[in-house]
This record gives sequence, C-alpha cells and structure tokens, in this order.
Amino acid sequence: MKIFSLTVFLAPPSGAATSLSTASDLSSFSFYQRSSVAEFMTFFTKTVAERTTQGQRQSIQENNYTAHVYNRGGAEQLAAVIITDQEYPVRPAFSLLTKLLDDFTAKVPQSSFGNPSAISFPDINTYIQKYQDPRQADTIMRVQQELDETKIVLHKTIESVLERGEKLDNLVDRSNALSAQSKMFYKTAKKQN
Amino acid sequence: MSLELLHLLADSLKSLESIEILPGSAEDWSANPEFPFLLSEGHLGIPQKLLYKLYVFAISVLSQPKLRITVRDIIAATAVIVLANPAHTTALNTRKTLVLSNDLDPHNELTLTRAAILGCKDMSKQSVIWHHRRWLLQHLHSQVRPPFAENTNLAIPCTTLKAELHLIAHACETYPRNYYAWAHRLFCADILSQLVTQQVDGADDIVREEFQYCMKWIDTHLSDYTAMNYACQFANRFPSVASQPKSPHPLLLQAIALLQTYPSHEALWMYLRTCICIESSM
Amino acid sequence: MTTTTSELLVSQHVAYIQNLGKNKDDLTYHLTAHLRMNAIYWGITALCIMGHQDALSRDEMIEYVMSCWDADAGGFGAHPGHDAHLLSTLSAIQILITQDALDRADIPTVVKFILSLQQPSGVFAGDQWGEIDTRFLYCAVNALSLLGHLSDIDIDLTAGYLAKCKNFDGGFGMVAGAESHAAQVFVCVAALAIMDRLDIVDHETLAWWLAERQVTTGETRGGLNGRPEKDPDVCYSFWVLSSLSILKKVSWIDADMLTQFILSTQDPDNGGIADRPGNMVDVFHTHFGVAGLSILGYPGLVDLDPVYCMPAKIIAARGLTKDWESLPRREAL
Ligand SMILES: CC(C)=CCC/C(C)=C/CC/C(C)=C/CC/C(C)=C/COP(=O)(O)OP(=O)(O)O
Repeated sequence: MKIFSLTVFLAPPSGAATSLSTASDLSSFSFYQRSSVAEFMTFFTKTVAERTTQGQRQSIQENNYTAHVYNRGGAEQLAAVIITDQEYPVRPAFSLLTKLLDDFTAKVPQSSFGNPSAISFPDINTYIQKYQDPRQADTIMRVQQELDETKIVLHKTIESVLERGEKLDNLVDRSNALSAQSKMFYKTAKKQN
Repeated sequence: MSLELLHLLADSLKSLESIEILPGSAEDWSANPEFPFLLSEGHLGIPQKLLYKLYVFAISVLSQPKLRITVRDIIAATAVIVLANPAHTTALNTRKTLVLSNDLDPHNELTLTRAAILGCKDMSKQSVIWHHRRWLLQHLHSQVRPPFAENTNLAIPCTTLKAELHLIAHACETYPRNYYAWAHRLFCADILSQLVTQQVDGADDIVREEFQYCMKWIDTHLSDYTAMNYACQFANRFPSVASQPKSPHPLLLQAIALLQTYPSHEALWMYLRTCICIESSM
Repeated sequence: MTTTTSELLVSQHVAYIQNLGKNKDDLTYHLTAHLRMNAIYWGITALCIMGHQDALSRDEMIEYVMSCWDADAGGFGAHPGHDAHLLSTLSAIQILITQDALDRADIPTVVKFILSLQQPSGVFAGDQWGEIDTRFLYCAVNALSLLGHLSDIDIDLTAGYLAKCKNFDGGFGMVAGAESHAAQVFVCVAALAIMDRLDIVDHETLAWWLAERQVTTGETRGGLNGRPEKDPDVCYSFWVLSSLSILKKVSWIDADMLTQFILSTQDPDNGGIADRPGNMVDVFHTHFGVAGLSILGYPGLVDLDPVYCMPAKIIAARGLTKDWESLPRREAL
C-alpha cells in the first residue's frame, strides 16, 4: 500500500489546471525509471484534475495506480489529487484530500495562487509520509463523518473520464510534457499488461 | 555483435548499485557508440534491444568448442545471459562452478545479483536467483561443503544478514507478494535463529527489529497474506517477541484491530485465523 | 480485445502448437531454451487431450529428447548443452512414455540421478546445486513411479517432509513454513496421492481453501487464483482442479463460470491460450487451460489423469491409476 503523489491544483471550471503544491514518493521505482514515472504522475494528475467538475469526487484506476480527485471548487477553485496503488483504501484517501485542502487554504493566501513557484507549503511532504499508513487517517475520518462513499464515482480506466473519441495513447503521444524516453517506458509497460 | 562489446558490458558490471534494463535500443539512450550503456552514480542502464542481441551472441560464444574460449569469455557470456534471462539455470550453474574453481569472486557475485535484483523486477521474481544467493552465502559462511543442500547453520555476520533482509524488503516493494523473496526471508529467519542460539552479539536486536518491521509492513499492506504468513512463522520461531506471556499475542491484537477498520480484506481474515491457530498451539 | 468465444478452438490450438519452435532464429526461441523440454511435454500432452497426438513428429521429438541427455549428471537437461534438472528429467520421461519410447532411456542411471537428490529431510533438490522445493519432490516421486522405482525411496521420510509443509489453512507451500500456494498444493497433494499418503491432507479444510480460489466478481470472474487476493490465471484451472479431483470435490467449483473464463483467454486468430483475457498466449497456459477443461468434463476432450498430468489411458495401462474423480465427460456444452 503506497501513496505515490499528492498535489493541490488551482482548477478553474474551464481551462488548464495549475499545480500549486506537490509532493511525491518514488523510492520504490528503479533509478532510470524514476524521472519518467515522475513525468507520468504529473501528466496523469493534471489530466484527471482537469476532468473533474467542481464539487465532484472521483477515483480513476489506470494499470496498478489509482488517482483520487476532489475538486472542492468554491471561491478558491481548488482541487487535490492523490495517486496511490490499488490497495490503498478509498475513504482515508478522500479524508486526506479534504484535510489537505483545508490546511492549504488556511496557510496559503489566495493572492499567491497567481505565482505558484513562490508558494511555500512544506506540510505536503509531512502528509505524504505520515499517511502512508492509512490508519493515521482514521483520526481525520472521525471528524469528517459527512463523506458519503456512495457518491464517489469509480472509473476502471482513465479513458472513461476522457471525452468521447479521446484516447490515452493519443494524449500521451501528443503531450509535450513527456519525454521520448518516458513514452518508451509507457509503451513497454502497456505491452506487459 | 562483437566480443569486445560483450566484455565492455561485463567489465561495467563491477560494484554497481543497480542494473536496469531500459526499453528501446542503444540509440534511444546513448549518443556515444563507444559506450552504448548508461552509467550514473553507480546505476547501470542497458538498452533492451542491445541486451537481447548480446544474449544471442553470448549463447553462440558458449557453444564454441571449449578450447577456443577463455574463462573471461565464459564469465562475460554467462553474466549477459543471466541479465537477459534470469531463469537460465545452466548459466547460473556455470558461474557457481567458476566460484568453486576460484575464477569468480563470490563477493562480487553477491554484489552483482543484488544490483540486478534492485533494478529488474524480473530478476527479483526468480527462485533460481534467490537460490544462487543462498548458495553463495553458504559457500562463504558455512563449513558444510558439497552436496550443498540448503543449510541454515551459517556463521554469517549480523551486518550481512541485515543487508540481505534489506534487499528482500526492496524486492517486495517492486513486486508485491513476491513469493520467492519472502521464502528467502524465511531462510534468513532460520539463520537468525541459529545466531540467537549461539548468542551472537547483535542477533537479539535483529529479532526485535525484524518483528517490528513485519508489524509495520502488515499495517500498510492489508492484502499481503504472504507477509502475514511470514510474521506468524517468525513469531513461532522467536516466542520471545510476544512481550507478555499471559496477554494475547501482538500479532493477534494487530489482526483484530485491522479487521475492525478493514473487514473486507480476505487476507486479514486468514491472518486472524492463523494467529488463533498459533496462539492455541503455543 | 474481448472475444466472445464460446467454444474451444481445437484446430487453431493444434496449429499453434505445431508452429512453436519452427522459427529457430526468433529471439523468443532463445529466451525460452531453458524451458524447451517442459514446453514439448506441455505441447504433446495438450495435443493428446485434444485428440491430435500425431500433429507433431514422433521421431523428431524422441531425437530431441535424447539430444538433451546430460551424461555427466545422468539426467535430462531442458535443451542440448543445458544441465540436467529434475524439472526437465520428469518432462523427458513423460514425453518418452507418451510416445511409447521409454526403451530409449537409460533407466538405472536416471533413477540413480533422481535418488541422489533426496536430502536428509526428505525433500528433493532440483539438481546437484541444492535448490529445494516441494516442486522437485513431486517431480522425483512422479518420475520414480512412472519408472516403476517408487519403492526405492523411504515413503515415510518423503511424505513426512510434506507433512511439515502443511499450513493452518490446509494448504502447502514451497518449503516448510512458506505460504500456501495453489501450484504448490497440487505438487504436494499429487505426490501424496502417488505415495498413497493422502491421510496427511486435511481434506475438508484444503478443499475449502481451494474452492475459495475462484474469483466471482469483476472482469476475470470465474477464473481461479493461486493465493488470496491475487489475480486469476488460467494455469490455476489445472493446479486447483487437479487437487480437487484428487480430493473428489471438483463440484465445489462453479464449472460453467470457470469454463467461460478459460475460453475467453483463447486467441481466436492464431490459436493458443493466455493467462488472462487479452494477453499474449503461450504453450504453458495452452496446456493447462486444455487440461483444466478436460477435468471439467468439456465435450470432445480426452480424459486427463490429474495426478500425473498425462492422458488417463497411458497411466491406466501402467497400472498406476489412483482414486480420483473428475467431472463426467459431457455430450455437449
Ligand atoms: C504438471 C507436471 C507434471 C509437473 C509440474 C510440476 C511443477 C514444476 C509445478 C510447479 C508449478 C508452478 C507454477 C509453481 C509456481 C509457484 C509459485 C510460488 C508461483 C508464484 O508466482 P507468482 O508470479 O507470484 O504467481 P501468483 O501471483 O499467481 O501467485
């Protein structure tokens, strides 16, 4: 059970999502894979953040990974994404996202959202370490009784959150954010599945 | 393909942190035709297409009449064969023979397989690779010589044993429920139990750390019955890990606590049952 | 790529097996050399079960087997030049018996090789380098029995090792203390069946554990896995079903659902069976898929002996048939 990455986005209803703060733990990947995996996490995270409407919670599985997204919307227009393996339980993942967004809003002024590189939110690193054990999230859960699991939409592949006719392979192919080598890792991983 | 390239790769295999097989061909990764591999901070990357060409070439090298090839050729060819195809038992056997004839340093061989296990998932899943390590450890640390049946009475330093446990932990991160890695861990637990009997300094600490490690691992791997089985086996071998003899076993308490939060995991129910069986058999 | 294949594509699978190994320049051919002897055994046995034993050349096969003889060790390797091992030695003997050519083998030497690998604990090593595994114990017991030399080993010692591998869930693992695994359960139960020591097995507990291997939800529903919370795989159709057949409890599995799962893993174009739907096919899964279907009573297939994993008739002719029960052969689906 593992959390691979955690990201807070500025996600306006139309247009691109901007990453405001992010942390990742890629220690379980091999040396040369790590940078490609990082690129893919960023790509995957941003893609799903942009395809989650305000107020919505959804989980998207792709290969052995699951992205849980919570687009809180509201005045700040914030969304958060966590990428875990498939073993990580759903409830703690969403509790964590809610707590992360609350904490972020409390500590980072909205006025700084325009300049993400200047944002300092080191707490996100603590989150990714501490909640590797999901029982740590139990304490949050007790506070947040309102989370209704039945309202969380579960998608078995990323394609189901894409628009009609849109294919993941094409998105990967076209993406400038992914290096040629990352695309090669992607193709081999696909063949093995 | 050339013998030079085979040797170039084989010579690059010394004292590495990890060895990885990269998708694609040499041109996709390296601009230097003189050295078509990647080497950075002790991590070696080998483009897959090139490795496969070298594999076919290495097989042709070994099939030549024995007189025409040197020991150095055999070492290089078998290394490439094992990297490309870690289940190739005959190549691994040849390397054991070279260890016995003092042509191959067993310490280097342990470093090489360690680096390969850390970088290649395929390597970490092979029973013969883990057996190769056991054989090398026995060769280095045991008085009992052929016929090499697996024996756990090794005079192995605690630091070596710890490093082995560390390697296994990594192998189980990259390939979950890694059956042969956990079986190898069981072998290490048996060695540990001998060290404890012999009252070797530091052995008791490893027992405590290992038990902690198991509990922590299970907390974060709720469907990993492989780990739960190991933890129970470990508790059986080291009754001292249950701190209070009269209260329920810590593993039993863990199983109950986890089940209360995550009742949908089949593995946890099995864990509970195994703990109860152990509790009643102790 | 979901196929809605509703029946076993016998002619495609026969063609697939015939084409294996034709392309000797292929990289895959080289990468699978260490499994060649097993692959031939899987291929010929699958053909026998589908009623097409003659689809491969008998003479070529026998010559190949003999070219893998490792005279230094006194056993068979997987490929010419490869070291002798129990895995390839059992396959070689099974092939020679299936082709009625056991007279080609130097039986006293093979028996000596097998016996030399038994350890003081009762388990067998796979070869002279000492890797131990209940898999190798099964290979030894199966081969010795086929060669009429079972009485050369100490049955109490050998079965005693297996008793030590029995876990609380009724299953067996690779060595004493290792996790129960369906494939390891098969090797242990079948070895005990051959040695007439099934009294060591907790029949009900084990059959329960085996029946729980069937996955009942999701895309791979109907398939069997090898251990709890892992993905199903066609090969477990054989490991689990053969064990249940030895325990006479195949009916504890939903046969229709499993049949559908196996059929859904076929490649309708080029033949062959994969581990899961949509994956690449190989001869290992082709054999174990067909073997599983035979145990399930799939129409038109030949009976398989689950203990030796060979055509039932061949085992019966040698007077080795044990007391097992597969599902009755059906007339139609
Ligand atoms: C059938 C005849 C005559 C002989 C075969 C005898 C042998 C060699 C049986 C062994 C079969 C086998 C597949 C053993 C592997 C067992 C094992 C520990 C597998 C673990 O591998 P994973 O890749 O983790 O598979 P799962 O995820 O399905 O558990």
